[in-house]
Amino acid sequence: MSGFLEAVKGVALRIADAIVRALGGTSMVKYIIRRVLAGIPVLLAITFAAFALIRAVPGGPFDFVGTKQRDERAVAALEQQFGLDKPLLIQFFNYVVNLLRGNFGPSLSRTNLGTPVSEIIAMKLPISMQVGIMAVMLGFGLGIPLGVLAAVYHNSLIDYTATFFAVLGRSIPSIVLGPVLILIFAVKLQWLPVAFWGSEPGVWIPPLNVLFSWRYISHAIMPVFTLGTGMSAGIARLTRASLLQVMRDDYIRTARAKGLPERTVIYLHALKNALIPVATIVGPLLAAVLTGTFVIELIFAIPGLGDTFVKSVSERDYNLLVGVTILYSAFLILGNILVDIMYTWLDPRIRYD
Amino acid sequence: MATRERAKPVTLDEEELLRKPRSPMGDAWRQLQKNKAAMISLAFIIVLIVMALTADLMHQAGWIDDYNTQHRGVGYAEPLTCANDDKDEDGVPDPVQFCFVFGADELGRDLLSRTIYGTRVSLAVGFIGSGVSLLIGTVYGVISGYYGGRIDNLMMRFVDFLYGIPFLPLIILMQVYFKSLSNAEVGGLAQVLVDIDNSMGGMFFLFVALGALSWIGMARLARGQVLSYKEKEFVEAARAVGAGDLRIIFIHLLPNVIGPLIVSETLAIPGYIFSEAFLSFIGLGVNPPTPSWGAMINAGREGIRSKPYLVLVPGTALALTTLAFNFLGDGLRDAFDPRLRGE
Repeated sequence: MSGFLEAVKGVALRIADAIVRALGGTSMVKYIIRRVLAGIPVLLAITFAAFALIRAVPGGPFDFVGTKQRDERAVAALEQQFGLDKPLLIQFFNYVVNLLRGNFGPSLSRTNLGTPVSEIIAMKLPISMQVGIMAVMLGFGLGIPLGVLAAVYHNSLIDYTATFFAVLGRSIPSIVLGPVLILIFAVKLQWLPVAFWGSEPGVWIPPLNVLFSWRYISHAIMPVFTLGTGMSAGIARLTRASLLQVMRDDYIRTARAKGLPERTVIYLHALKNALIPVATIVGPLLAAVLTGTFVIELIFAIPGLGDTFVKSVSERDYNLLVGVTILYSAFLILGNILVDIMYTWLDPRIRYD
Repeated sequence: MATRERAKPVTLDEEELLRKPRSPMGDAWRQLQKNKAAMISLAFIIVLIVMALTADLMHQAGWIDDYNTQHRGVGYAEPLTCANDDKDEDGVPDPVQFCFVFGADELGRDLLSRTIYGTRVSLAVGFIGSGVSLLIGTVYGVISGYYGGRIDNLMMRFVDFLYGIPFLPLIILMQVYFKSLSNAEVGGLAQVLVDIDNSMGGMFFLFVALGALSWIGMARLARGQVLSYKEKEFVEAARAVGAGDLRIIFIHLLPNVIGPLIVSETLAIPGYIFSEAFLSFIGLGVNPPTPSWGAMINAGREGIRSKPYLVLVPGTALALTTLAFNFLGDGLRDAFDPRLRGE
């Protein structure tokens, strides 16, 4: 028995050691832990800001009580039940205590009264993530080839066309591109549905038969394209600049001098190093995915997290709103930390201490 | 004199030597002039600015309509149609014809006039937003970078702190709060601010919300720039001859660091314009009836099946404007920092 425990302990230690080494040594782990800890006051502050701001707005979550005339007593009873009658700071204290137990509190909206906020988020977040991840994939899938083309055929018509499309993609706001796409493909051609999302809520990765069904694809094309083109524009620009930079390096000259075919030089030698700065864009993209899907969801009426957030504002669903805000913040903080970690991975000269 | 003549490098001719000393700004301007897309964009932006400034004059001259005049009986007028409009509700159409170049919206308001007036909101948000951000960010970053040490540490911790705040949700919350203020009697200083906001059609709080959250990146950039310049020899030389902190900052550091900051702000302008358009799109931007492209796009979405121009006209205006600012920003970046051109 003790031998088994020893073995488990040994394996656990080795795994921990491997993780520490993968993250870049003990100093890096310390740095990450410090960054995560530094994120806690930020989270508390944004929680309090959202908490206080939404309560300062006139109207409350229970304004729906009573059809013609508001029944003050019923409202008071509901407010008491959900603890909204207490002073602001006490409410906040209670909320944070619950939060530490992993409890985001109950929803206060009319339709979901009493449903745990975590449950609602668990239903909505996967849909936002699906939109975001597919858009990022499209962004890289479109942006990298475009950037490589522009760099390989530097200062040619191809380069100018690719660069022009990159600026165009960056410039057309999604609130313009979205409605225009709807106008062309949904209204005029009637190929695609106007709104909503083709998979069930609460499912992170839809089963394959859903994922490849026309229903899912047809709902996904326009929102993913709208969000993805903007990303691909930035990625293309970065890829082009980075590849052009690398092509001037000595080792590329060596490779050419060895008589390697130009294709091998570009795609095997140059591209490998050129993509390093491009990879670091993943961090900012993570944040962009969240705020981006926010806009996209409203345009295409996709029942995701952004849509939930805006509804929770208008319904004064205090708990849901604060819960979603915390989630956005946490993503943003983790995304920022991820960027810094990736920099050290990709460029060992960067050190944090 | 003769020795100087001899010391002249052979490759430089007389003209080149006698030329006036070239400033970084002048260099950048010469470089920018070579960039056609940037120059066209600059011209376009100047036209937009003139349009925004002279919208009232054009209205008085009778070229465009007031943005809020509702022509009766011509709701959803098609583009390039004219109608005898009935402004005074007597049931008899006036003899004066009014022509709708871009059509009219659901209330019979001329779309061309609304789009032109909409330039004001977008440009104001773009310029004032970036101006506020540039000012706060530069001051903050320069102080932090120049004085260094504990001050720098403290100031940058605060920036890191703000960096984790999700911009869009918070700005939505702030706008919801500010919007609720505009209908309420608050009294005191807050009332003054609310009155200012109401008189500006809801733009003032938009500036506050955008400006308060957008200077963070600028402060980091300014600090980094100052850090890289403050150890340079020319700063040391200035200090050696007894220049004070303020003189070093304003005379020696700022002219060197301001270029990249301006470029970065120019590239950020589309972001501000887009933020305003998006907020107006979801009804949290400027107050109706002030015309804003975002609000017009949103209003037009309902009729998109039969009246696509309601979305296309303000949408094109918005896209062209952001396109112009992006081209100009790219051109400025190339002009100020040739290393980034990727050549």
